[in-house]
Amino acid sequence: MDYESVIGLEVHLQLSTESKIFCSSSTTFGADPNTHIDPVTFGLPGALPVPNVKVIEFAIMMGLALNCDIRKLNRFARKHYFYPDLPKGYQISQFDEPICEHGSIRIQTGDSTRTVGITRIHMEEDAGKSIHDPKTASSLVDLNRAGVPLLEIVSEPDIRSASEASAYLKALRQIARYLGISDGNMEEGSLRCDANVSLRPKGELKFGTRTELKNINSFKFVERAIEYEVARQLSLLKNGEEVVQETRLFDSTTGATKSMRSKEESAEYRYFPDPDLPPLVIEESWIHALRAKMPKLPEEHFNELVDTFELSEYDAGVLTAEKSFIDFFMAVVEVCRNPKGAANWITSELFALLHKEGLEIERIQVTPEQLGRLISLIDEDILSGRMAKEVFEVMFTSGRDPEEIIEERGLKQLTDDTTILELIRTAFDENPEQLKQYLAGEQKLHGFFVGQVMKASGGAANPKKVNEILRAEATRRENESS
Amino acid sequence: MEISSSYLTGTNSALIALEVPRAHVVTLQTYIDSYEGVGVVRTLDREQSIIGILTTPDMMPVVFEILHHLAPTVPWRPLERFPEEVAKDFLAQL
Repeated sequence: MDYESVIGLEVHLQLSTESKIFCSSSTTFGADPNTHIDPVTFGLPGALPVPNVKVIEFAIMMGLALNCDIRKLNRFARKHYFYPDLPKGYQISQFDEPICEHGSIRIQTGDSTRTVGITRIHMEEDAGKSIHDPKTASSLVDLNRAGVPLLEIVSEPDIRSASEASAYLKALRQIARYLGISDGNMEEGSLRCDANVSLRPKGELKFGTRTELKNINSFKFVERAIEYEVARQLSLLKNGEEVVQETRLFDSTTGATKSMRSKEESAEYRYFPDPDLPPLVIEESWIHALRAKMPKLPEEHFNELVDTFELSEYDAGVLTAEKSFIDFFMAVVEVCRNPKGAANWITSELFALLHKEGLEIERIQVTPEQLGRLISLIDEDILSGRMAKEVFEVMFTSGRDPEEIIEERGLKQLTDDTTILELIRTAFDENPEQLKQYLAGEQKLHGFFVGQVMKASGGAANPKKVNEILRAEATRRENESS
Repeated sequence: MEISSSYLTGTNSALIALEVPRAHVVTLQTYIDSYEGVGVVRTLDREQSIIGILTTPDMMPVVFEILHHLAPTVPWRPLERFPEEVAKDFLAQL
């Protein structure tokens, strides 16, 4: 019997707000333990939560970007469980009235595009962090993270493979970064993912028993954890055994998943509306205002690059991978009006230098305006491509203007027809034997003479002009001799 | 939703309204709080000294059991009808 995998992801996205979701403590990562705390974070008696408006705005923006319906009336609910890093004894989350519902996202894997449904997006607070020290056999609790705002994004079970799961996760991260609502950094825990995995016979509509995979903290591990779990469940089913509904932990060192606990049902969390937080009423005008200030999303940029700028899908994919890339690209094009040139320069020269120096595009000294001007200088035949590379390397390390570097290094391209003709005539005169063969039809000697001229000009001659004038001079000499 | 007695139940939550003498409200709240997570006590009507215990439908029998045990200490009284003005409170919008 053939089986198909049915996968749904629950993604926790940490929002880039300055303060926590229900109090004014800082959300900055990496501070000394228990320094970003206050009575609300501690859950001290009498301390009341106050919602952070930025969190609600970010949730609405993510909902709009994922084509969700925004609930005009939604509530916070308490989710009860006991754990040392949860001082209140409950987590403030949302339950049956989340802020966003019924959305979708398009993902691309290989040549195919698929739509994955978004069941819901809800706001919640993060818990603190327990640090277990095996040396002292003790556990320490850091509450800096308690109360940091999260969006939980729950997909429909529409994902069918590990690679689709990874593509889905990358697409969510890309959108969140475009919106500027999260850095989506998996290593720092800003993006966490649990995967619900089950198998069912192909063609069957009923879902099989699912397991929930936790502790997946990189895009690579998402694929590995799901691949392992699918293989494990397949082996059970083929041997006539049953899959047990449970939570399993992914171990990145072994690449295996292991049983962690039997899965709780929502009733065990005793959800009920938080009496300290009145329902949120979201007015249509607020949604409109947020929609109006949302940036262009990756898919829209991608289509524009392919349809309007006629770039390849590959280049469009590379340039839209990060908002900082497309912003840089658009600013370059604004100056040089040459999208293909801009795409080539950014994806080859600029990315190579970024990679070599280990830099982010946001941190470089060269501005998009300067790169745009450099490309214009090439288009105007003032610089050759080779010269431009030399100039760009200096621009990259110094942030200086291209014109200044060209002037200083005397790098202007030789475009004067008379001078180029002189160089060609000298090359012909110094190589009579080759000239004779060239005029007799030996076309490969054309390259030889172009090389001689380029050498004589110190690489400064415009190759296009050299080609044109060389052919004209050869024709003239051929006519003369006949 | 039915307003026929001293409590409202929704799909996921329930609100029990009780009349408790003002002097005993803090005692009742402390007892309920000590059963962590069983429910939350909130004031519904300050003038008439009506408090609400917000809980879940599944937990309601437990809350009533606690209340019966507390009766000798805290003189609470169930309301005959869930007050309509209290029903406007957001806690009652189950």
